[in-house]
Amino acid sequence: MALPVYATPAQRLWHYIYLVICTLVLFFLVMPLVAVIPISFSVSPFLQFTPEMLRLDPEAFSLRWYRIMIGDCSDPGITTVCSDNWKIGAKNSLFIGVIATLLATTLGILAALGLSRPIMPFRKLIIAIMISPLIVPLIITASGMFFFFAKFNLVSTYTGLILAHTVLGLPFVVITVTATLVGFDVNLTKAAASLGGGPIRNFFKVQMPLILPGVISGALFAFITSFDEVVIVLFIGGPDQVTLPRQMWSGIRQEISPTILSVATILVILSICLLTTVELLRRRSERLRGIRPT
Amino acid sequence: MAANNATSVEPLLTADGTPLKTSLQRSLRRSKLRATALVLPPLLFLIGLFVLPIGNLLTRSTDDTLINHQLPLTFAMLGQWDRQELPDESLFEAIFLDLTSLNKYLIKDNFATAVDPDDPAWKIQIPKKGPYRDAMIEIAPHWKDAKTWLLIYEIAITAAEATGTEREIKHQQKRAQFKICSMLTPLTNATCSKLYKVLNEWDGVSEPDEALFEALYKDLASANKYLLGKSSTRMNYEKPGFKSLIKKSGRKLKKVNEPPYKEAMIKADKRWGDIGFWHALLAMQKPQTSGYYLNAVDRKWDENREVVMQPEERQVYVMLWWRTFLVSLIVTVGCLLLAYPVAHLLATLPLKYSNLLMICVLMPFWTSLLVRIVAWMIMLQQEGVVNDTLVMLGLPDEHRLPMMYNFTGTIIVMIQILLPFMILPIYSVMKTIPPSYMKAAQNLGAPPSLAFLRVYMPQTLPGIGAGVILVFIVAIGYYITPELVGGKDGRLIGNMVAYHMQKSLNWGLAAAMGSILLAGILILYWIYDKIVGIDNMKLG
Repeated sequence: MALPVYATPAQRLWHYIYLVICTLVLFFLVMPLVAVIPISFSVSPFLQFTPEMLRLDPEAFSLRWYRIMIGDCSDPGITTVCSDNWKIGAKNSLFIGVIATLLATTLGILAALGLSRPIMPFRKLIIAIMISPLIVPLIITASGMFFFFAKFNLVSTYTGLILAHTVLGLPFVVITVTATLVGFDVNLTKAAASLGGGPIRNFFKVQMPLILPGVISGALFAFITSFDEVVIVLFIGGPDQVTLPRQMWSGIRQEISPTILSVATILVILSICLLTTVELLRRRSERLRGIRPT
Repeated sequence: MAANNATSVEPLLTADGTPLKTSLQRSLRRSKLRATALVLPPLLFLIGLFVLPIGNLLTRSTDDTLINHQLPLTFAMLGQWDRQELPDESLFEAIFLDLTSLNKYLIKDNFATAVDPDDPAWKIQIPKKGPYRDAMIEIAPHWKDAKTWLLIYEIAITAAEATGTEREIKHQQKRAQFKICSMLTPLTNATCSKLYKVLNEWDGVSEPDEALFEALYKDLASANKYLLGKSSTRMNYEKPGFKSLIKKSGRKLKKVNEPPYKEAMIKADKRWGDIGFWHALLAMQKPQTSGYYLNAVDRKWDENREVVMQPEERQVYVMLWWRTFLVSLIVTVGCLLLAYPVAHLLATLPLKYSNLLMICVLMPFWTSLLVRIVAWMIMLQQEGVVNDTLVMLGLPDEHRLPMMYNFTGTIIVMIQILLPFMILPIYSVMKTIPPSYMKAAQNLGAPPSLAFLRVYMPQTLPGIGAGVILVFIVAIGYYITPELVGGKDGRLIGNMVAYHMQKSLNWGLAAAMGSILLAGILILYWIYDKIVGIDNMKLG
C-alpha cells in the first residue's frame, strides 16, 4: 500500500496520519501483553517498572516469582502467599482441557461430517444449535448448568466440568471442520469406496488426513477455550477443581502478586505457540486443497 | 450426486431391475439417514447439556410453586377476600394454620392448588410432644395402612443394602434420605434422616407404630421449617419486612392454641394488621409469577393488580440495563472506529507484512482473558505504566488519572478485548474488494474522500454489520471484565445475574434477568444470521 507518485500533499499527510493511527491501534492491542513480561522478572514486589529496571540494572531482575509459581518457597524475602496451588491448577486445567478437547473434537467431527453432506434435514436449525454455546453469554450458560448439573450430582465433579467445557469447545470444532470440508472433493471418498474400502477405513485413510488441519485448529480452539474458562468453573467447580484460571481469578481478586504475572507471561508465550501452529496449519490446509493464498 | 437426474421417465430401470425412481428415492433416504445418524450424537449431547439446562433456567424465572406449597390454605381462601379492608377471621385462621401446622404434607392430595379449605382435617392439631399417631391418622387415614409406608420403606431398605466402599454406602444413604423427603414434601433438598433410620428397623408388614409416626412428624417438621425459611425469603422479595414478620410471629404463634386467630396474630406482630402485607400475598397466589420479570425492570404489582414502579430507593435494574446497553454501544462504536483503518491496512498491505501484523491482532485473541485483564491492571492502575508515563511527560504527580475500577476502565479493557472480533470480519470482506475499484472511481473524477464514501465503504458494509453485531452480542453479556476492572460504576447486568446467583440467592430474579438478556441476544443472533449467515462464521 504505497502512495502513488502523483499524490497531493494533503493526500500524503492523510496517508501518514492513517499509518500513525494504525500503528497506535496495533500498539494498543499488543502493548499490555508485552508490558507484563519484563515486570514478571522484576525483583521488587511492586507491579511497575522500577527506575532500576529502566536502567537495565541486572540486580533489578530475578526469577524469584517463577520459583514461587512452581511452589519453591525457599526465597527468604517472600511475603506473598506461596503454595503448590499453581502447580495443581495447571495440572487440573491440563487434565480437564485435554479430555474435553478429545470429546469435543470427536463430537464436532461427527457433526461437521453430517452437516456437510448434500442432504441434511433441518440443517439451518442444527447449525444454529451447534453454534449457540458461542453466542449465549457464559454467565447464563453457567447458571443454567449449575441448576441442571446439581440434579444429577455433577456439581463439584471433574465429570461435570469436562462435560461443560466440551459443550463450549464443540462449536469451534464444528466451525473449523465444516470450513475445511467446504473445499473437500467428494469424489475422493467415492473413488475410495469404489476401490473397496469400507466407510470407516475410508474416513481414516482418505478423508481424515485431508481435513486434519481443520480438525487440529478446531481442537486447539476447544483446548484454549477450556484452558481459559473461568465462569463455569466458578459456578460448578468445587474446592477440588482448582484450575489455572480459577487460581488467577482468586489471585486478582485478593492482591495481584507478581507471581500472577509470571503465570501470565507463560500463558502469553503459550498463546503465541498455539497461534503460530494454527496459522501454519491453515496455510497448509489451503495449499493442500489448492486454494491459492490471496 | 446422481439425484439431479431424477426427472427421468417411468420405464428406466437400474441394473438390478428396480425402477430408477424408487432406487433414487431409496438412496436419497439412505443418505438422509446417514447424515442424521452422524449429526445425532453431538446434537443430543448439546441438547442434553446445553439447551435443556438453559430451558430449565428459564422456567425458574416464572416458577412460584414453592410459596404455594407453604401457604396452600391461605391462597385457597384469598380469592374470597375483597382486598379493601383487613381480611376477616377465616383468612387469618388459614394463614395461621399454614404457618404453624404440618397438615398439608399429610393430606397428600391437597398439595398446592388443589386445596379443599372445607376439609376438617386442616383444623386438627397434632400435639407438639406426641402422641402423634392418632392425630395424624385422623388427618390422613391412609397412613394407618402399612401399604402407604411401603413406598418409602423400599427406598430405605434398598439404600441400606447398598454395597461398595464406605464412602459409596454413605452416599447411597444420603441419597435415600433426600429421596424419602422428596416423596413426602415438595422439597428435593431436605433430608429425612429419622424416617430412614426407623424404617430400617421396621419389618414392612406389621401395623405402623408410634415410632414411625414420630419420625414422620419430626422429619416433616424440619422440612417444614426449611420450607418456611425459603418461602419467607420469597415473600420478602414481594414486600420487604415479610421475612422478619414471619420469623417473629413464628416464635410467638407457638403459644397460641385457639381462636380468634386474628387478634392473636395482630397481637403477636402488629404488621399483620397492615393491609400491605396481605396485598403482597396476592401477587404470589398463582404457581406462575411474572413478579421476577417485573422486578428485573424495577416494577411490581400494586394492590389493584396494576403494574407500578418500585419505590425510588429500590430502583436499580433499569439503570443497569441502560448502562449495559450504553457500554456495549460505546464499546461497539469504539471497536469499529479502531478496527476499520487497521483492517484496511491489513487487507491492502503485501502478504508478508500483513501476516506479521495479523499476529498482533490474533495474539490478544488467543491469550487468556484473565491474562489480558491482569495486563491492563498493570497498565491502568494508579501507579501503573500509563500513569507513570504521563507523570514522566509532565503530568503533576497528584493528578494521576483514575482509570481503573470505574466506567472508563471497563470501556478501555473491553474495547481491547473485543477489537479482534471487529477487525477479522471487516478484514475478510475488505480482502475481496479489488483495489481497482477505488482507482476507477478516482479516474472518473471522484476525489478520494468521495470515492471512499460512495465506492469503497458500501462494499465493506457486510463486514461492518457482522463485526458490529458480533461485538455487541459478546459485550452485552460480559461478566468477568466488569467484575474485575469495573469497580462500582462499571458493573453490568451480567454481574447482577452472578450476584443473584451466588450471593443473594434470588434465583428467580437471576433467571428472569438472564431470560431477558438471552431474548435480546437471540434477536441479535437472528439478525446476524440474516446478514452474514451463521454457516459462514469463520475463525482466525
